[in-house]
Amino acid sequence: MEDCLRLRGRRAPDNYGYSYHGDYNQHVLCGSAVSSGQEPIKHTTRPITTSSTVIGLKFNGGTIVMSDTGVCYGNMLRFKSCERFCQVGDRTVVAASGEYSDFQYLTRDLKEMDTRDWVQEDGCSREPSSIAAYLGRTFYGQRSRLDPYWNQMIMAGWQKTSNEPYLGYIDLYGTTFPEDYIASGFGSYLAIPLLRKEYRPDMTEDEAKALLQKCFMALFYRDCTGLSTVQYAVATSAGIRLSDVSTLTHKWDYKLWLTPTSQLPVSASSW
Amino acid sequence: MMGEWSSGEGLQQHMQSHGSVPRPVSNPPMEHRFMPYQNNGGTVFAVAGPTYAVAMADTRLSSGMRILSRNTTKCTQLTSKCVVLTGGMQAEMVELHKRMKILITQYEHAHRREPSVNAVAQLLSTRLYFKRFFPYYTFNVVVGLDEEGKGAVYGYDAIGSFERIPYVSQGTGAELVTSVLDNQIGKTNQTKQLEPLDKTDLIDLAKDVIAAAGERDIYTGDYAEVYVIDETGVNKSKVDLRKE
Amino acid sequence: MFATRSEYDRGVNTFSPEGRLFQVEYAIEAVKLGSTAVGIQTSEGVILAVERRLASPLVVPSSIEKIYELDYHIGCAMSGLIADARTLADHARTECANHFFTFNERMSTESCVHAISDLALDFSDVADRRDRKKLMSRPFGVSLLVAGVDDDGPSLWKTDPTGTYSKCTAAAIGSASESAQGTLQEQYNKSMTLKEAEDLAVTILKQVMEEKLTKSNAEIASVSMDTKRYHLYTPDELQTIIDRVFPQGISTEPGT
Repeated sequence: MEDCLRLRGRRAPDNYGYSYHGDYNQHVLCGSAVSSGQEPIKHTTRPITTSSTVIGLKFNGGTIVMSDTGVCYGNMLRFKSCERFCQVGDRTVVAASGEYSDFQYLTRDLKEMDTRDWVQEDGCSREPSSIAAYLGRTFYGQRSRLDPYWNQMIMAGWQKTSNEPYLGYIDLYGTTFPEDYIASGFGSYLAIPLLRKEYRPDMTEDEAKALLQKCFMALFYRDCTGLSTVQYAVATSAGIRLSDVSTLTHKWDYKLWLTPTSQLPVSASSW
Repeated sequence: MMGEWSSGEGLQQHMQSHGSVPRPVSNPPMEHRFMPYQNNGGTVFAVAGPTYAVAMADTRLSSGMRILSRNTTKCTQLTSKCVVLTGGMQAEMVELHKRMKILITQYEHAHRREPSVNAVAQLLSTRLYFKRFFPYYTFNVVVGLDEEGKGAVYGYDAIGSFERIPYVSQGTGAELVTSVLDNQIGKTNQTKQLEPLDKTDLIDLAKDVIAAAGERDIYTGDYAEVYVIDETGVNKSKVDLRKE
Repeated sequence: MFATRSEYDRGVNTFSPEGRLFQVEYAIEAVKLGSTAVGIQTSEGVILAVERRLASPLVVPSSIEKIYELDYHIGCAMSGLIADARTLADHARTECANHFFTFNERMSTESCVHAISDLALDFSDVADRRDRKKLMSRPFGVSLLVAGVDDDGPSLWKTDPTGTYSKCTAAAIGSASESAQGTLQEQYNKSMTLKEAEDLAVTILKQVMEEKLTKSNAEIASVSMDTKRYHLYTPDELQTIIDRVFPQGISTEPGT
């Protein structure tokens, strides 16, 4: 556990035989190097393998959260079918944007917690808000070590005690809050205006899904790291439903887009 | 904002464009650093009255130019007659408020009574100063009723310097609020003598002040939580602010 | 086979089959060898008084201290092993100072007594897992009378080596505690003034002391509601009380 904590999200040249970025110095060494001939502890100073938007919203009777399936190296769309959801217990699902390896590490951590919970065989499971609080403390703790989990997490779930949907946000600083609709990554710029315009708390699940698809279409057209393949999870009182990956129908042959700009009147630019 | 450092390339380009001989420069080691701080914006303030105190905080949570949430509290009730309000970084606020609640519960167990506002105020200062060299990026106001039943307001800086004052404001709209409070409550720079304010006047004034701050400060807005602390305890209500 | 006392009184962390901790009980016995201390609580404040046993006329009396200031508003009188009392007093002082530092208010008397009693059974003859040596490897052979003034008014507390503490209106500890306790029960009443408490304390000291009571072989201190402060009486102040209680002077016959 200790080892994997130290190596979380990093490639040490010794492990792989080469350094991905060529320059090992991208990592700031933490204070004085560790004694006893070990590798110095390295801190995350920037994300490397990143994923972008996650959007979540509450509808009448549940919460839905959607993400695309792309993971990038910088601006290169490197992995095109990565699942970015992690179910914890029977009524919470966490979706992440940001450093994918940090998310994978946290997935393992959460699954471990889940297993410890499960072996109790007491029929109890944690509330989404409790898991959000746990993740919030975890993220804050790491940021206080100046070695953050470089993610923005959106949590969807069903609160059993109050019998209502839950949607919460956690980021690399440890910022946590519940909200009616949340977007991370590029979506926090591009999707939020759409959500502000069209969101209603009394939406049906289908309406909510349609709104999210609309947001992801907009993102697919404008976010160069966005993908048209999306996946979503729905949390209701019945539990969590994780969808299959589906592809949004998109269309690029708009006349405006096909005509060279030089042939367009000044006012007719798609911009 | 993420604290990426420049690598000095600007200087090299500058030298080349001015015709000096381009030297073969091996790239100096580039240093990256994670900036652990962030200001999530918002305004909090409090005013002490003779037998009551009024406190106010907006509920907007921002990150850079984005509004993350319109409805996230900056206040925590710590005892039956004491509330803490915090501007600055939300993650640190959550941590600090949680710790304060734990410490106050421990106090209650150890001493079998609720701590006075004075004790809470000192405790907060001590906690802040304990992190003197990695401070909580928080700007706090402690407000409540003291042991004599008088309104008490304490203002802090991030590392625990504090004082008891008649009124104080913190956060991104602090400057806007302070000038109004100086004039209306501190009665400075008055051309005409103002009528003394009663409790209702003061609450109304406070609502107007935060609304005014919301008009000019982009990080302040959405809603404001209003705390009125008097002999009946802590009374909380909410008012609307502009939401753009 | 039930063991005799001698088999179970060696270790500090072994109960006897009857459920007794002999070493702690012996510590209580050690207190009974100590000099007598008396405490009296009135609505105006609390009086603490102790006898000072001088082993030899060559000892400078003022160097034997059996009443300690714990904070501005709390004092304590001891009976038993002086060094143990000092350890506890030091701990209490730290706790009081720490409380003031953290909360900007004086520690309540009860909390202070609680802090002292927390140490009572915090002993062990082995180091703990973090390799920290415990303060003590045996029980503290000391009882304390703690007097203080706080928001709830004046109060008097008695602690013993078991860590038990109790709030008293009047109490006595040490070798002559039984007879002193008897006198207190007879003479104490709730409406006493602080001055009357001074007189009663001095009367009892005179009764129980083998030597003639003088201004230098006793100590007396008060924590009064007026000042909300601990005050250790000077020998002259003590003499004034002695003169007031015994205008004819004290005969050299002990116990009369």
